[in-house]
Amino acid sequence: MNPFLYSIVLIVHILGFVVFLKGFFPSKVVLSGYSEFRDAPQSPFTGSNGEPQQFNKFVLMVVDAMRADFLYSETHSHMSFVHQLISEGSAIPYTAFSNPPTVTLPRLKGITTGGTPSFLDAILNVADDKDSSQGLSSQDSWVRQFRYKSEGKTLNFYGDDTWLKLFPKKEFFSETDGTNSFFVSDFTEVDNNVTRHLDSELSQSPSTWDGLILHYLGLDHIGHKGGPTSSHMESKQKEMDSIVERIYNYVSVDKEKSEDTLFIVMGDHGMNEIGNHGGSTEGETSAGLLFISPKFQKIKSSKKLKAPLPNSENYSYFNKINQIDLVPTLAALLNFPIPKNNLGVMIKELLSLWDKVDERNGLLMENCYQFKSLVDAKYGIDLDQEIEDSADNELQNIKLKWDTLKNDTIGKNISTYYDFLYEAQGVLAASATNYNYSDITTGFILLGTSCLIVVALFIKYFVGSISIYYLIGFLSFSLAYASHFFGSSFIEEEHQIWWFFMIMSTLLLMAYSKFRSTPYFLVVLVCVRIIRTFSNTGQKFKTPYTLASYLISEPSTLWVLVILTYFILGLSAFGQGCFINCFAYPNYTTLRDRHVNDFGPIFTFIGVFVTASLSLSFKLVQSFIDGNKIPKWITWLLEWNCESFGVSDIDSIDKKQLQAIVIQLSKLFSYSLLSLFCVKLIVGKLRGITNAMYTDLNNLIVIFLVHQTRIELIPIFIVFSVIRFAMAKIILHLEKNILDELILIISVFSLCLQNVTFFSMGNTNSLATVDLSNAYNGVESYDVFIVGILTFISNFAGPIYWSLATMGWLLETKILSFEYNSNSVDFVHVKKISKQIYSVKALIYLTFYAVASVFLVGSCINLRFHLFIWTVFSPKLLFFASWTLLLNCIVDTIVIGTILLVT
Amino acid sequence: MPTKAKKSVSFQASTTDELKEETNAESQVEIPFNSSALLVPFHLPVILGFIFNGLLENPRTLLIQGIPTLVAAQFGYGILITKRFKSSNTNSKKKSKSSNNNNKNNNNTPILLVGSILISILLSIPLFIVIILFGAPLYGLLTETFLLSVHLSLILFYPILVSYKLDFAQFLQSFTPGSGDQIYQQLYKNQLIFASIGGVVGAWFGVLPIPLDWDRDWQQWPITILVGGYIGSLLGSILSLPFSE
Repeated sequence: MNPFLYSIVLIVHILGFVVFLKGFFPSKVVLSGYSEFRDAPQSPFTGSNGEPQQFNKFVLMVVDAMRADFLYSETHSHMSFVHQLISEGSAIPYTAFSNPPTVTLPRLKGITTGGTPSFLDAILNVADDKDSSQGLSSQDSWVRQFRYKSEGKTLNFYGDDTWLKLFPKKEFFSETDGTNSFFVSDFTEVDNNVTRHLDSELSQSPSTWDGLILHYLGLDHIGHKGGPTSSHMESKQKEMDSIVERIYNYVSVDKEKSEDTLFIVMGDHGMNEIGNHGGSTEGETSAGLLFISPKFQKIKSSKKLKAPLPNSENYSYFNKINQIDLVPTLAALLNFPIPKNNLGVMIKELLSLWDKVDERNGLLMENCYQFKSLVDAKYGIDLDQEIEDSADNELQNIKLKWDTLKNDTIGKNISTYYDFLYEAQGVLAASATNYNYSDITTGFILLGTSCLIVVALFIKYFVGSISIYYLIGFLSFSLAYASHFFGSSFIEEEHQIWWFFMIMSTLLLMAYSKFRSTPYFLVVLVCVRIIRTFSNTGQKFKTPYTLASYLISEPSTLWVLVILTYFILGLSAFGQGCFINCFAYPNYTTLRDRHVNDFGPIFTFIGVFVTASLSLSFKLVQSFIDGNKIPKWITWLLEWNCESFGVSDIDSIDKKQLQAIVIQLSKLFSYSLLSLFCVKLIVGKLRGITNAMYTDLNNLIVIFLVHQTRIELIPIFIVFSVIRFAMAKIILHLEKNILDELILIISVFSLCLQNVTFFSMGNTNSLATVDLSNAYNGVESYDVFIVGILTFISNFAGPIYWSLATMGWLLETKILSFEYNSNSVDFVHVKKISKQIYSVKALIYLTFYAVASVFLVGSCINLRFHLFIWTVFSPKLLFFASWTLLLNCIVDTIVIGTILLVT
Repeated sequence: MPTKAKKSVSFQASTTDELKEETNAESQVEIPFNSSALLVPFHLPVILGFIFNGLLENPRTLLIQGIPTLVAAQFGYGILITKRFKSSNTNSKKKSKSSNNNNKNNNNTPILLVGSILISILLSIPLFIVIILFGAPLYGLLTETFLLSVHLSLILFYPILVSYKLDFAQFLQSFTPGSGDQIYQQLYKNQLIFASIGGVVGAWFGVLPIPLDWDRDWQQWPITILVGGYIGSLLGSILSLPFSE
């Protein structure tokens, strides 16, 4: 096979995919600048006769993942004080629709700017930290409007530091304390960190702040860990309820102040039945929203409300509004201009706070004019002017409504305003999904071309060299996999498909080996079955009875297995390859002392085991920080670790100190692993001991993979090792008459194994399960490149393991199966064959990914207006991009190619 | 998936010894019965219909209730198979034993059928383990999985056990001779074996609808697999007819 042709096809494939993604996820165009009142400086929100504005101050309490039923339902809500407030009319309750993607960063953007987030925000929620492009300092939001009101207001913020990414402290806040949201297993500390500030914030009267924003994370963490019915849920809700009570009591102590301060309690999004979020199910999009103030008692409609309500199947309680409706409503209540890009509509019920009809109309008109400027910008027209007849339907409708609004001067009905607002809102919100069709088409054509070429190459290469059945079999496997992209539930439950292929390929391999190594096949089958039990897979069902959750509940077993894993992996790094030989003295007879001769084992032992122990210590301290139980018999190691960093008392230790220790440990580990890697490579090269070099380097990388894996999943690597060994045995005894056939079958087997392990390690095709708990290992200051790599490795540890193992199976079969004395020769020693193995495997993988990508992209284009496009297909696109760009192109082709080249 | 059938039958090799007759070790491979449209297991869809006449809310009770019906029906089916036995292999058998053979056939029929049923039920244990290894859920649905394996075992193994009169050696002969082509021919010419293969394939592909989000009752474990097994078996039997002699 021509490597030059292959590289070109690979590049076209990647280019096609990237161009397509660029067209499919266009970045949103927003209006720059900050809005002002239409008749500045006259505000429509205070009334013409200079009546005071409705509220001067506000407290916004965001409770992450506060689903509507946690606030209102008879069965799921334990917030009795909130119910009391609703029943007496001091609180106006809503179920607020939270626009997907239901992840914190895009939701906060929506809540503050009033815009609909683009899908890219969801990824940036994961990826960015200090990426300045995400900040909202240059985009209009109510936080900005409030902060920079003519008087200059004081804002304090405590809670989820996502806010601080959006609103840098120096521009927006006087007092802040951000909490990192990534330690999901911590339920109490994150919230105490917010609540402890209330003592000082609520002690002075009048308050030192004009706006107080609190963001509580504990409830969301409980959801992620134990689901909405977790046993921690009740106590957490009661805690939140008591905080609501505390703040309410503070803002309503005397009449003056209570009229002055608006108190809002809301969830940024909900959660689904298993406690995750990110998608668009009713549970995820139904957040609760409460406006609280004694002032609301004078609104008649709120009098009739009673809480709690009977449980509602679709999480719909009281009136439904859109979450972004908060934005213009806040503007009206607190008297500042409506942010420029707002798509929210003022909430009807709250209009009754203004007594006169004129005033209400005036403030709705402000909302309408703000929408008008967005419509004008979108279509490049002026709604006041005549528009051409050729303009599209949507615009004609808006124009019609606008004209009605303008001309109908007498007896204007409130519904005229809302007609226009909703019409414009629908059209403007849709513009968030403006596809860039030229990019999409170009990308699709490039992908299609590369697919055709690679399939042609594939057929040309394999026809004649292997049995036609295998050729057809592989192509139909690729097609069968690719066609699943047309069903959203198949994407959600992709692990089932892979499991199906996994068993098929194992049986095929068994038949191919003529049932020669049946015991090893049984071992493989049992191991694969164990892998499957490790985590919940798929998005549909969740059971608490997985191996991983069992291990979490049994810390002793877990840590025994973790230590065993490190031991086994350390041992294989130590003894499996030729590490020792590399560092042993050459057999100089002049060295009389035999012990000196043993430098090789000593050096290797110290190097490998110190490195593995560093990683183990790191895992232990990390697990302690995350609040997992540490068994008693291993606490000495924890204490010893802390002591060596100068911390003697582990119970009173500060989190910050522990964080520093963890970072140091992880850095130490990475450096020592890297130096082992380099020393082994260089010394081996210099001394010409390249035997088993690939296996040695592979084993070292595996330790890093373990380092990047969540603690409860680490024992899975024992199972991996067993499979790697059993498969090496099987392959050793296979007939290798037709090498291409062997490569094809092993590649398919490995693909299945990669995917099965990927899903069994807790991943799904939804952004909700992207694991970030190891993305910051050893990272002091945020670096998008390093954090990105660590995130990829920690989520793709399983697939990377099998990528490396597959090459080992084919090249160093003897080493991996521990049969050093076998008569056969490992292919790695025959340059021509190892080159062939590498290139044929690359061709097979590229064929598979190219066919799949054409189908996936075709399906996304076809279903671009489908309900699930943002929740199922777009995340799948991103995951697929990781598979084909990062795993196949970077790891399989470039990294492994480089390793083979240098060894 | 001939492997499954082979492996599991080996399990009963020792049991067979007591029951089996002395006639075996013929070098000639022969299907011990005449294929016929009569041998198409038309009772299977009927039983399936009976099973699903109930509510689908609790697959477990349905599966349990289905077993006696299936056993009874398979018993009748077994009689049908014995009726189709090649008239005691007149041309090839040793003449001295021919009459003897015939006698034994008649005498042993009830024992043969009852024994086959018992062995099939026993075989459901290894089948159960295989199904688990192939990915059946481990938590909460073990009973259902076992019931499934009893059903499948009765459908897949029982007809073969009866047709070979529990004679494992003779069964193996179907797979041993000459060139590979002949083995395949043996497989699809033998109506009962092909029905079993059809059942395995049906059960195999029966898993496909489970992940779909239609949220129907029948998507519960293990109903689709059961239906796949039943229907596959029927289709296999029918498909084999044109090839049989």
